[in-house]
Amino acid sequence: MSRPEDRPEGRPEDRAPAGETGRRGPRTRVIVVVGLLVVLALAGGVSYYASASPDGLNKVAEDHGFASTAKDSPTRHSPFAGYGVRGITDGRASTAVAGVAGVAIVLALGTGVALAVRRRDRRGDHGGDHDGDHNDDHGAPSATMAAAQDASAAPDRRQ
Amino acid sequence: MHVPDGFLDAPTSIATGAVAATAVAVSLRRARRELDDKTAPLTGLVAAFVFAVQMLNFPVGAGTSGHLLGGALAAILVGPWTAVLCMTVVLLVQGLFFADGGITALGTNITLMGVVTVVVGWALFRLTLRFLPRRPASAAPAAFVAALVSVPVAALCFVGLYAVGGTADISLKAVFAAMVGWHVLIGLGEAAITALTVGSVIAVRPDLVHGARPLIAARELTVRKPRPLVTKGDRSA
Repeated sequence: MSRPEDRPEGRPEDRAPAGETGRRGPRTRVIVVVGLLVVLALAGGVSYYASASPDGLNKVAEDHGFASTAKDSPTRHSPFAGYGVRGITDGRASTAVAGVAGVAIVLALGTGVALAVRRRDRRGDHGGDHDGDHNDDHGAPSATMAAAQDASAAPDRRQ
Repeated sequence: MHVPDGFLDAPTSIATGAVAATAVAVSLRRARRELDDKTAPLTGLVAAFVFAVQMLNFPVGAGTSGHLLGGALAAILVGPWTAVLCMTVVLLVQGLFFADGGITALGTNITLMGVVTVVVGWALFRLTLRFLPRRPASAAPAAFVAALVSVPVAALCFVGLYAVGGTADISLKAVFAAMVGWHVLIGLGEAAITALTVGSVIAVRPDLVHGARPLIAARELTVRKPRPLVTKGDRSA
């Protein structure tokens, strides 16, 4: 992978633009907020108008005689099963609440995973061995890489 | 394309579970390199976007619908390793909370929609970019091709799994033709959504698109130098 930050340093004209691109256009925080609004509108509003026809796989299963082998999911009694909320009779509201709840859960989990993966990265950075996990398969290169990334991303943090 | 429980037998489900677990474990390690200060805040958002758009089934004709899978899109936006993690989160939440896709089929679903589409999508994106001019505007058409092909390939892999461990005795030839046929159509929708999304982010903040970073570097250089042609020659040398 030839990402900009992987290139040998020492050519200021190469590194300067990488810093600048971070500042061109709206801030990352603005992008994240706008993106979230779009996601909420899609999951909470547009989703009501989604096609209810069987999807490609289900259609093929019906047409070719193996749909009946499908077993009900063990989670079919979950409050959000089938992208609706049990107890909300209004279809539009039911889909909207389920969609927004799903977005919240996925957002929290996705962000959590990203933070956890990064945190481990930082720990490796300090040469630490806190939990007995050596991470020594590519410990040295990844620590160097992390340091380089931190350095290249530093201007962005000052936003 | 969420596979329910019961379509595939236990050994096949265990095997795809092992494939999925391995892919996630490797991705947890490799994603570190992708998760810098720019991509880390976007990871949750990309996963949430894929979840939301997966709710939007679009008709593809004859009483059939399809929805975005999102593996190619996630790979282009945040990088392939992080994309596997995004897709796994989406599929886990769908299986556990929304009864969408089975539980014993989770490994199958992560393998098909979280790994195959990411691998095919990312590989084709990189390959297509080689034939396009080195500028950010090339990302959207490359994303189109990558997304388009990723869907029928995932469908093909399902047929492969069914050939090994399907629970019903059916004509594999017919299932193969039907699966690939429908999923080429669904792939067109996938391609449109992926290209539109990648194009929109490129238009606003190209530096936030992981797959477009090499393209930005090239553009910045031509903008800053008075003689772009000389610069290009310099670069490739």
